[in-house]
Amino acid sequence: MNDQVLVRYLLGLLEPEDAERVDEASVVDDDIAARLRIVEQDLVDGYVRGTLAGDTLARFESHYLSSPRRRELVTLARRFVPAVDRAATPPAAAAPRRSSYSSLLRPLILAVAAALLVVASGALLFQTVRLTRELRVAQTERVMLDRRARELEQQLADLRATGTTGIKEPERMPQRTATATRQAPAIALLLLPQTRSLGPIPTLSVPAGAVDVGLELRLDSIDFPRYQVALRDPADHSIVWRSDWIAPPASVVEPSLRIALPAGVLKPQHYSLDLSGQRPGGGPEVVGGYALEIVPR
Amino acid sequence: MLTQEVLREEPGITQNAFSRLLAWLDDGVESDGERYLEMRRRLVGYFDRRGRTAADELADETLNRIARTLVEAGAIAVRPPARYCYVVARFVLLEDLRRQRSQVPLEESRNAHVVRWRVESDQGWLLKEHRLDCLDRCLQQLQPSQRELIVEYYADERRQKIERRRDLAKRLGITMNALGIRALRIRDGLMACIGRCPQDR
Repeated sequence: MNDQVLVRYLLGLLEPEDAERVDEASVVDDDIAARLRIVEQDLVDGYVRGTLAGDTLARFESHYLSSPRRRELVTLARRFVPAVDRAATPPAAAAPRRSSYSSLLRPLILAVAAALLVVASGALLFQTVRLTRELRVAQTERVMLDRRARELEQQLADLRATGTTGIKEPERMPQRTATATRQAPAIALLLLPQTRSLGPIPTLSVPAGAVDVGLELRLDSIDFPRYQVALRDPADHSIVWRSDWIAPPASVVEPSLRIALPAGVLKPQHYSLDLSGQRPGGGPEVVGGYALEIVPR
Repeated sequence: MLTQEVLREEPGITQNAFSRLLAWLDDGVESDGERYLEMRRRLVGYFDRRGRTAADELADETLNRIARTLVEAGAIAVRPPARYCYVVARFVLLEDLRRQRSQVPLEESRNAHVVRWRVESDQGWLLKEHRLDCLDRCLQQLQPSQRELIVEYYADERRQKIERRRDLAKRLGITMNALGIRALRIRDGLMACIGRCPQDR
């Protein structure tokens, strides 16, 4: 049972009987249990560092991240990995000094070496403090994004209060298209591209009475004149809903795309949103992905 | 017999039963509860990978049933203990799957019209902020040799991760697997330290 098999197991790619064999070994076999943890941690660290790609990345996001416990592992890795990487980077300022003293007497060299050690220790401390500061910045950014989402939510509530809603309840169907900008939806949720997400996958609870779910998808930049969003069920990779082609807002502070997702197609589970862009005369190009978890109230 | 033993559901276990469970899991080699923690962690992982949201509870239920069996039957013949744990865990999993199938989906019983995005409470944010505050403290609490090991083991993987780890294992005179376990334990300790921080307040 090599590491690649364990990776496939973690990503839910093994056949049921093979997965059951690994299930058993993960509990009974000390060696496999340890290797599974090591492989899993490397996989999570790879995701945090952005080194996963292709199918591995897609499966990681659609399958592995469907569990709150595993998302917590990713959250912890987001704190741990930058700390390790920064601690592993030697302080740049210390190097030139050594050569300037290399021709002096041995006691002096030893004294300089001791001084360099002190400098290195100071640099380590500095790195740690810097790391803490950066983590604070990341947290602050998250708080601001949450605040932005709450503001959107409030705006939509205001719209509802002034009677601009009233969309007919959509029928549940496996696949459908919709105009993205029809009217103010019932819920607002801001989603970040997955590679830039700072925390757990956003969760959303949708009651039976909801008609639409408003989503604002943050873009890195607006590179296409129009975009399309597809809601994908990670269990079977089927598309359960697809938007029309949408033109992004002309002037915005932060590039984003707003869509109204029919609440009727949503079930309590993990979803991924595929974003495609299209240039005039060109074919659709995959731009990015977003994750969303619908939870029972 | 096994089926009858593992299909019971009773809450909690006595101190005596828990002690018996610890000794049985140790299997003759005293581990100060380490073996119990390791088995519980494996079971939580198993249930979680099987898509069970209450993985912790199911792992506890598995170990509680084994503890009660130890008290009532006096001994368990299946060896090693981990194999029996897996057998019981499978029963617990099947029961949980059956329970889930018999439940009415939550969304069908809902009638509320007020919707909102579930965000973390202010209290949750304060807790996370405090955890970040203590990251620095926890890093400093590691012994220098531990800090060096995890830095070298986990540092940016684009720089010849495998070779670097192989060299490190060679220097320490241990296998790659042993090195991985050692690194994980240090990392676990660091994360446990961060997890304990909010209680300091």
